[in-house]
Amino acid sequence: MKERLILKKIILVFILTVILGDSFLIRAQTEEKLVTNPFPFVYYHLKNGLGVIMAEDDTLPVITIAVAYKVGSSQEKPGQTGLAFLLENLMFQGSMNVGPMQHFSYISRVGGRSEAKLSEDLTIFYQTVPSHQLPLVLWLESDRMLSLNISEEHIDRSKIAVLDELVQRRLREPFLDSFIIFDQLLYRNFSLSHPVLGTEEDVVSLTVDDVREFYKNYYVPNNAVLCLIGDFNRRRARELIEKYFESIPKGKTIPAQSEILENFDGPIFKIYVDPLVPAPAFHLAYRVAPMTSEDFPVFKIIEYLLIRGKTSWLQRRLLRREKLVVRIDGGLESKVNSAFLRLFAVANNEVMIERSLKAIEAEISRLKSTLVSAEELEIARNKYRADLNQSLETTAGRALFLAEMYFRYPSLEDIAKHLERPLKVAASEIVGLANRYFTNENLAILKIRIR
Amino acid sequence: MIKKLAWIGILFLWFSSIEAQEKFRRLPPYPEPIKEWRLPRLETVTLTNGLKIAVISRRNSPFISLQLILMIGESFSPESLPGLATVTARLMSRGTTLLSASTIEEKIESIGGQLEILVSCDRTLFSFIFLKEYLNEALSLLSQIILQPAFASNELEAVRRTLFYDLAEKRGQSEVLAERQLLRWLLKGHPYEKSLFNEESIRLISRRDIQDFYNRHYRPENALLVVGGNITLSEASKLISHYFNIWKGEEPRRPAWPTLMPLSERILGFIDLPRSKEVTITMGNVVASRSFNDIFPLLVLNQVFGGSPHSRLFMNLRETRQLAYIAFSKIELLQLGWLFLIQIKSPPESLLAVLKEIDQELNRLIKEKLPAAEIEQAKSFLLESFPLGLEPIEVMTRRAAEILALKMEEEYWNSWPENILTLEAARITEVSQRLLMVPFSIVIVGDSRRLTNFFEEYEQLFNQIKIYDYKGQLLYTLSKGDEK
Repeated sequence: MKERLILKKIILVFILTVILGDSFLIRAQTEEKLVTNPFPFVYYHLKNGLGVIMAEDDTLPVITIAVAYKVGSSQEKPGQTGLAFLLENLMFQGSMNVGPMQHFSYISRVGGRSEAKLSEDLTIFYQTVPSHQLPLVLWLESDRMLSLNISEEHIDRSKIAVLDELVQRRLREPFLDSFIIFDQLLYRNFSLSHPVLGTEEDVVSLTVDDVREFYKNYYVPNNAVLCLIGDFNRRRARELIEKYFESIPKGKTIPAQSEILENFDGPIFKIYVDPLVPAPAFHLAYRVAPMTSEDFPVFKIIEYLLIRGKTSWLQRRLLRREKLVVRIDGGLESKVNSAFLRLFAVANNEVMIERSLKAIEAEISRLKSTLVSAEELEIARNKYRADLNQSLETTAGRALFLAEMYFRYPSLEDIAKHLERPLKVAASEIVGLANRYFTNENLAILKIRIR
Repeated sequence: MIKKLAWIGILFLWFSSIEAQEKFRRLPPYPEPIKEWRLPRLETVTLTNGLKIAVISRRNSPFISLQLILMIGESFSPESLPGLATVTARLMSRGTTLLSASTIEEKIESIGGQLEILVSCDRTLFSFIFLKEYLNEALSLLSQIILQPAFASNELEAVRRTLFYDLAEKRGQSEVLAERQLLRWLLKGHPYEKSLFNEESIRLISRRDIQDFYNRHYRPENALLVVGGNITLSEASKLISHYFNIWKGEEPRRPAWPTLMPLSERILGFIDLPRSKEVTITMGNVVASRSFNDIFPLLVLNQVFGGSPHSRLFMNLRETRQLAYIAFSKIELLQLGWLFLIQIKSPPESLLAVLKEIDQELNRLIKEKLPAAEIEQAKSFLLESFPLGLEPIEVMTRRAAEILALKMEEEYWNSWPENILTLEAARITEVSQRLLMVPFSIVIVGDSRRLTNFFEEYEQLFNQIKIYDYKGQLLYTLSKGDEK
């Protein structure tokens, strides 16, 4: 009798756990939240912690699926640089049910595109395909999240591709070394100062264990978000996402990256001699407010006033009017919890470099002392709005945007506020922040000389 | 005992559920049912001054795209001044009678806009995209650029400098060098040849030449304005008429130029590009058809042969034999003829093997019956991938504008799926034998020092190689039996 009671209890517990308990759990963790701005989307989590964001758009029978992992070069240790890049490449070398490079082949066979994007804090894999191919992409992405093939042979193949890319990049970008040196001046912490793609020496020495450890720690559902944008049925998509991803085991909890503290110590004025560059050049940067700060949107407008577009102050003065430089570009750079307004310019000779630096100083002084006119402010706002809309015009653009916001911004509900804030920036705010941030203490300059 | 059995049962159920769940991972899943979808329709109207307007609506676009096509390209430049059409078009955005170049730049950026100007053999395109609420401002600016260009001398110098820079930059690009040399052969003696202009003729162009060219060719009857975005045909035509109705001119006289004809002999050319690690091969010939009915079979043939990474060329040369890095083919649709082009990049040591393989693949395509499965795969690829190329409004509008410029909107744009779906194997084979059975000339660009083996062995395939410089000047000819 007692045994029967125990049996009944066990069966009851089993049923409750498997059916009711599980569904309560799902409901508790996977309730959809709706956000309507800047475009409508819902987001929720699977039981294993995978974030899911879905935005429907039936303009064209096309979808983009992006799977982003919160891991990048900033998680690499000294001596292991290039590990994040190697793993990004390895994700195309096959998993339990998908052969080497078959991922590309499956996607291209249906007319789709498959790409990956690596930064210091994120690795994003994304594919745009005809909308009825949703199951195929979910199958491919889930297989490599669950069972990536990590063997000596696969790693060697990836190393060849990664080393080739590093060589090609060096050939393509004659000023590459100066960018790496300037990064080291701006970011004192190793996590942010080393090159995102790593160095040849480190890549060569990476071991199977290094790669396995990195994959096991970071390529887990609770460290990832899946974004699905385009023409799909939400209920069916949710069913398929659960089918392919929910049984993937959760990984261990990953400590937050708050230990990466910015410790910029300006002013910095350095000279770097590189006989291999084609012309003298310089890097210039001001430390500004980080991305999550209330002040950051003001710098977005300053960025457009100063350097973005043909009519920006510096492009117009240095490149067109006074012809001091042959090239000048730059913009805001935000890494984890630091941000800089960076400029890079190439000139024909060193006299022009000195005159360019003086001209920049004069334009910064103008920003500090004069209210920007309503017309100039309007142009900056519209340039910002056009760039933003352009980045959100395609399903791939929206998928990348949401994946980045999910990890980099505190709350998805507040994105619209964050995006609209630059449109409300007043001229007086610009003067105030320019005076507060564009100081000698926040300034770094690296001059590049040929000899 | 019962307790143990119960636990075993539970564990069994648990494991079997996992096992059952994971079976679906073993094979790729079937796709979902394909949803019915149609391309947005192109609606057109012609204004009283002859300007043709077309609208393609997309309700949720934050931008409006204006694609103004003038049916005049480099083929209209005088014999003595190739490049004149390009210089004229570029100079138009560098100042009007009322606006300076920098004011134009400012006006474009103030509406979140971008203006791009492209000139080909047949056409000149002004592609203008901007935030949707500024349609009036954009049309006003575009009409001033088109109707009141200043052609200032100082701006002419700036345009010349930019063109010199562009030409110099292209000189280092192996694929551009190869394609330009192939086109020199294919377009020889035809007005299209002028699209291969160089620095010398650009230096000769004067302000007066530009003004004359503009007066003669920039006519509303020669133009087509395609609008894309959240707008209807009646809204667009009303506004466009307001800004462009003063555009008048005599009926343009279109010269009766001959259609392009295929080259009857095969030429092999080589251009030395020192320090080039890889070899670039461009092959092609003219496709002798101007019947729009042949386009769809040709598109399927191109897809089977080299249109994507899943086509025969890429699969054979790269995936199976690992002889090449990339291997693709494409069809270029020009007003007076179409071109079938093949582009390969390979390691220098594979060059001869690559050329042999391409010959075999071309023979296979023309002489062997295409398997039904391959045809169906190509057709479904073309149908499914088409919408992927239409995402940004600018791309969609530009594509529509090109189709309209070729005067094939009914056949191509509005009936695209039917035209692909209903194609039969026999028709595709007939087109391949009629149009592709021509000798394909070849240009190779690479570092001669890395190709010594090829120069020893080329006689296995060819009787001679013509050696050119980057300007297309024939340096010498290497013939069978010559000392290497």
